[in-house]
Amino acid sequence: MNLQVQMWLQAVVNGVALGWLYIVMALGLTWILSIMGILQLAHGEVYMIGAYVVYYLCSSLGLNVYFSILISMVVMAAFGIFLERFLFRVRADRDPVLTPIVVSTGLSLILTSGAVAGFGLYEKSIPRLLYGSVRLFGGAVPKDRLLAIIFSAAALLLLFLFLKRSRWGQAIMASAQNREGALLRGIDPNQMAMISMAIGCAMAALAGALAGSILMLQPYMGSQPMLKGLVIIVLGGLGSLPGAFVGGMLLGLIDGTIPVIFGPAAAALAPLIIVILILLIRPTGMFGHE
Amino acid sequence: MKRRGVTLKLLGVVLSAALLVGAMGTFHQTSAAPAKHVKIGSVMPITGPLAVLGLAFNRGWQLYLDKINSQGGLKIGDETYLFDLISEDSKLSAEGASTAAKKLINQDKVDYVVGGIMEFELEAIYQATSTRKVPFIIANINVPGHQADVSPKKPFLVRLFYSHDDSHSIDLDYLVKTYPKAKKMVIVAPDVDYDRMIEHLTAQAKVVGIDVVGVGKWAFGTTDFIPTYTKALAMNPEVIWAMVSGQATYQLMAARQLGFKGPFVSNVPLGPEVFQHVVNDPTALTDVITNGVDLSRPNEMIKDVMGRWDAKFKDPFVSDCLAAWDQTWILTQAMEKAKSVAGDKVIAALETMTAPGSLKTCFGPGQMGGAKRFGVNRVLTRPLPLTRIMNGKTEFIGFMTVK
Repeated sequence: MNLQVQMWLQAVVNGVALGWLYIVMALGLTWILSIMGILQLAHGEVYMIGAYVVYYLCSSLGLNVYFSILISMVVMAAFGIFLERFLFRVRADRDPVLTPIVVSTGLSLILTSGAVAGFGLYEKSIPRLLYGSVRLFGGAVPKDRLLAIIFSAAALLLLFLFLKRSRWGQAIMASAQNREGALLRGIDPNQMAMISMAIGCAMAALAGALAGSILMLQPYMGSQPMLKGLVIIVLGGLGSLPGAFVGGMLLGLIDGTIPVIFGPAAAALAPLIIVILILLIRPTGMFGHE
Repeated sequence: MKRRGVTLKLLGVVLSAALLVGAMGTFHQTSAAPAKHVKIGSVMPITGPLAVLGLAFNRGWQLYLDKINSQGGLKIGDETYLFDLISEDSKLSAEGASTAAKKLINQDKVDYVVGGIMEFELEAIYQATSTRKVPFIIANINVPGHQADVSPKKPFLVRLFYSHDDSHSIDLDYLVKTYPKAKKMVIVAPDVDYDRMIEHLTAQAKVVGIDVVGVGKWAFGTTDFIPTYTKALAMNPEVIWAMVSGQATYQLMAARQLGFKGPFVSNVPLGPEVFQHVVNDPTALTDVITNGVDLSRPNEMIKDVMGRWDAKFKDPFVSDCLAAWDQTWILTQAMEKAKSVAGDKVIAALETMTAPGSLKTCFGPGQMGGAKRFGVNRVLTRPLPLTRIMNGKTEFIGFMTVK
């Protein structure tokens, strides 16, 4: 196969892998936004801490990396419950818009500083999910990226099944669509918010663990994905889960292919230009509503 | 009664003697000149993604100054000088660096400023220091010859950090000797003004029979190197040269994951222990050539610095602090040569220390130079470490003299 074609196909596969990572990250963020109505600006730091939990489980306790990722998701889900209960719960004496923004901004700073103090600045790494590469379309594709696609797709499928097939999932959807109506049906909105936050944080932990293994692990690793997450939810439409999926995949393909085809300068500009174009055509995002 | 009187007299004698001794001590103190203080201000990013480097440099300076202070200070003539380090955060921005430098100069009244990792920081710091004629010592530069670098138009600027392209001849000679069949090279570099260094390396490589078949560039801030290396490996290289990048570890991982098995050269002083720690895969850690110090085989001076670090800090040792240690060490050597701590005299003394071996460093004897390339002899040249990593294990080749 022609080297150029091989190169582009490799780039597309990498773009798909990145896209899935972004989807898992953005899904957590948009999930929290759609269910709880708050923009969790410390989501990138939850992602980062999820990755460090995996690192410590592997390096200090010698646990298998896959098992560590599962434990990290459970730990961060519990952390999410704590956050909802004590920081983000809707109360009559709190401004519903400003308070979460201020709280999550402060939380972001505390978590980053805490990570620097607790984990240090020295470079660390999470064991790779898989070593080596496979030949695909004539080019080498890292196995860990393929596995990241599988893990992310599985997580998304489980989430979809949870929403569609379980009572809790149905209750959460009802609460998101009409909080007062759900309340009248006996659905506790605080309980739904707690579950949603737990799921959102677990998704962030999964994304962080996968990114920490594939990309890099350091206390400031959450800021760029957070920015991408915000771009994705704006692109996809505020609070839209299908929008987060499409937006995440689009951004992943851009990040995976533009640097290869057009070089680094275009790679920095392309996502922004595309977002601006889409918002000019559809100001509410691809799947957003007025 | 009589006994009481004797006791009182004895007490009086003892008290008087004590007062006399105390007075003599005070007299001695006031008659001996107190040590003077030389204030050195540092401007480094100690928060943010490059904080690990910024902290390592700060600690290196502090460790050397602690050493000299604990030995009683620097004696020049009849004067003794103790050193104070005042550190400020550049926040990895030009504005942060400028604010920090101005605070050090105007508020802390420092005698010297040292610091900067990125060129925009260096420019911002020099703008502040030059207006008050405070000597600025460049701690690091990525692009030698950049407008932020030393020049005849900048009398208060000196660089006590080597030029990264000093490593080219050393690494190329080793490549040719050890991998004689590797004839096609791709250079992978950040997309930040490295063009002159790339041209320089390309020309030097051609002389030793290696063709540079392509250049892959990545945007500053890149975390995923798979796209860059997908493009780079499409040019079918036999050797990859990752030019001056603190992220060479991640680049190596990307190259190996995409199936590249040839020699990988990283000409940045990243220690092999960082490669081992981050990459953590013996099959990837093979045929890796780096200009970092092998900390498992330190010389006596490096061992001393490492010991001092371990005694003072609980974090793992970061080898970048050795460059910083050397910078303050060289400064005091220049002060001794100048027989003065005054900035202009010290810089003038440095400019005369061009004979090989004029300066002592952790890496071996060095000297100042740069007149031919930069117009002034205000750039440090010293031996560079060369280490190869094979199957996850380091092979320290040695401290190589720069041609």
